[in-house]
Amino acid sequence: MKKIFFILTIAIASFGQSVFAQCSDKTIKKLCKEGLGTYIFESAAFKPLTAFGAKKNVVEAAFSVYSQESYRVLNLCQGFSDVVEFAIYDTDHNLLFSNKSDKSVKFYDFVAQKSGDFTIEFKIPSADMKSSSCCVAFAIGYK
Amino acid sequence: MNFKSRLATAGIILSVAFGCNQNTDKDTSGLDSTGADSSMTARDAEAETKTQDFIQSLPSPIHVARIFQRAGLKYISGITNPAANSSKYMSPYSKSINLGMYTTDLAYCTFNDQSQEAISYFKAVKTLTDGLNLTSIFESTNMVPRFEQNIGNKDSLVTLMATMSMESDILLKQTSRLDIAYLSFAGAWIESAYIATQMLKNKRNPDILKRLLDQNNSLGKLIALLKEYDDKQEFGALITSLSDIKTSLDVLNSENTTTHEEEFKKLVSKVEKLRNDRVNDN
Repeated sequence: MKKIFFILTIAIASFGQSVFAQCSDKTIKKLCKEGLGTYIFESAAFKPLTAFGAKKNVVEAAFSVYSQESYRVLNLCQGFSDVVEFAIYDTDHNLLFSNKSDKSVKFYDFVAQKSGDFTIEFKIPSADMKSSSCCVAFAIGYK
Repeated sequence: MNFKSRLATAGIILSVAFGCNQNTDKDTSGLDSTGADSSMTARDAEAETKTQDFIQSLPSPIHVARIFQRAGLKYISGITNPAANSSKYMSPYSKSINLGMYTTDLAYCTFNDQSQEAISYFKAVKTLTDGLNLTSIFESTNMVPRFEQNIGNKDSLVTLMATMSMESDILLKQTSRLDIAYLSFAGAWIESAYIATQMLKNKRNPDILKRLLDQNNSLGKLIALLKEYDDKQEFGALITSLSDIKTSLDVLNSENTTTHEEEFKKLVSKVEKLRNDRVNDN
């Protein structure tokens, strides 16, 4: 009984940690360092899912690229029930990449053909739409 | 141990777990020392709504410096804002803008193997971040000694600059101090455009000119973001000057080349004036 009580307490405490840590600066920095590899940090964007409103099932953001530069876009979404689907569009809004067929892929590397704005789009799983523990986040790295 | 004791133990473990987490966030964001409000202001929320779902991502000034260097931008002695000026910037406005200028100068010197100057700029950046209560950017990673120890090793210096850039980017977004982020980017943009135009004034390098014209996109974004603060007089004046520069870049990016030479001279003059005004502004 004692053991069960202790394990339960620790489990609840750990759950609390992960819930609050999702969109924390520490978590984002850790994930950037782990995921960017040899790419150099350019910028990161992060926001709790709740900040987008309960009906928002697609979240998008633009980021600047320069022609002939190498980039990595890193999906840093945390706390979702499933891996979040994301897609990258070029300056003319042509689809360059989507992890739809293999959701385990969390980054996309590319060389920009034109300078301008690329777009990243996240599809929020419907099961998580009202979750308060999810963080939508991404980072950009360059070489 | 009876049930009450167990409950009390559980309560302590839970409060430590949740409490530690919240404190961790505060410590790393430097809020304890600054007393800054971490909640997103109505103005910030409005800015985000108007510009897509996230705060607009602006390019890293360090990356922009790297791009110019790859295009052939060489080191010109004495062109940067002297690091010794860092102590004379008093207002948060001038500190923020010159923080960006010094970040560009730091990257410019590092990429051009000017190690001693790079140290001075690294310290100048630290002076201004301290002045803006962003102390944790340097404290958390013990960066200044590490920078000094790695002089001569460009790759390590670039890694340290990138770490500084990440700490700064994430801290400013986490604490919603976006006015500092935008002003700092403005300073970095102005300084890189200044260095590039000064070089192009004497010798036309088509690759550098192309990269300069590429900066029009980020300038447009920057002006839109700064407009969220245009009720402040100093922001208004900055927006006017940057918009004037954007007009020249729009002309230079157009296919009608007949007016390009004349417009380039106007651009050099506009960038020079804005940059020197900001360097000399306390």
